[in-house]
Amino acid sequence: MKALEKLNDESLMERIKQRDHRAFSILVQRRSDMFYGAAYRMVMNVQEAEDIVQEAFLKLWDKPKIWKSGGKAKFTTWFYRIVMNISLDKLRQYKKTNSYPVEEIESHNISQEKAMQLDQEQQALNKALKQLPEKQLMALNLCFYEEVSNQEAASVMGISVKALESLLMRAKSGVKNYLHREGVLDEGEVA
Amino acid sequence: MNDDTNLNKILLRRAMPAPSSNLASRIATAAKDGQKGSLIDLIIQEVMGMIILPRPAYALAACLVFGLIIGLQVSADTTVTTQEWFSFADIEEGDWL
Repeated sequence: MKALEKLNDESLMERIKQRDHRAFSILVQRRSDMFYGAAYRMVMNVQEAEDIVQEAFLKLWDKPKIWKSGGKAKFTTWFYRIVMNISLDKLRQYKKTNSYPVEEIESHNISQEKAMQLDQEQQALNKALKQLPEKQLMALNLCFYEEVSNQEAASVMGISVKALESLLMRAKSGVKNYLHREGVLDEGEVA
Repeated sequence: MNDDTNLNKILLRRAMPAPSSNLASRIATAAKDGQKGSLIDLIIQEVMGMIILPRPAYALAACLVFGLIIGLQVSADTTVTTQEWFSFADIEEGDWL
C-alpha cells in the first residue's frame, strides 16, 4: 500500500484501469478535498458539493477507460472538467427550478460586530457569484481559487486563453458592480 | 489596481465549509459496493440479451420485408378466381324455399 501512495495520479489511474480498488482509494483520499472545494465554489452547498465529487469519482471507477493514458494532460486538469460539468448540470437545475439550496454562512470567532459585517459581506458575495453566468463563475473559480494557470483553465473549459481572460474580466466586473450596489464595496472601488 | 486589490481581498475572505471527514472513505466504499452490483447487472444483461430482440427497429423492418416477400409468393401461387370468390356469396339453398 505504501508503494502505491508514492505513485503520482497518472500512475494510479493506470492501476485503476486494471480495477485496482486500493489505487482508487488512494486517489480519492488524495484529491477528494481539492475537488470538493471546486464543486462547492460552483454550487455553494456542502451536501451538493459532496454529491458531485462522489458522482465524479464513481463515474471514473465505472468507466476508467475514459482516461486516455500516455497523453500530456494532467489527471487534475482532466478531472476538473468532469467535476465542472457535473456542477454546471446542478447549477442549471437550480436555475430551471429557481431553487438554490439555502446555505448557512459559518460564524467566525471574532467580535459580534465584525462577524455581522463579514456575514453581510459573504452573503452579498455569494449572491453576486450566483448571479454570474455559469462560464464566468467557472473561470473565476478555476483561476482565482483553484490556482490553475490560465492555460490549464482554458483547457478545462474547452476555450481559448483569450476567451478565458475575457470571461474573468467580465466576472470580476459583474461581482464588483453587484457589491457596490449592495454597499459592500465603496464607490471609489468600482472600475 | 486598487479596485482589484479590494475585490481580491473580499474574494479571498470567501468562506468555504470543510467537507465531511468521511467523504473519501464513503466514496471508496460506494465504488466497492457498486462493483458487486455491476456483476449482477452484467448477468442480467447477458440473459436479457438472449431474449430481447437485438436492434429492434432493424428486426421489425426485416420482419416486414420478409412478410411481404412471403405474402407475394403465396399470392402468386394461390390466386382466388372471381367464381371461387363469389361461391362464398352463392349459397345452395336447395328446395326448401
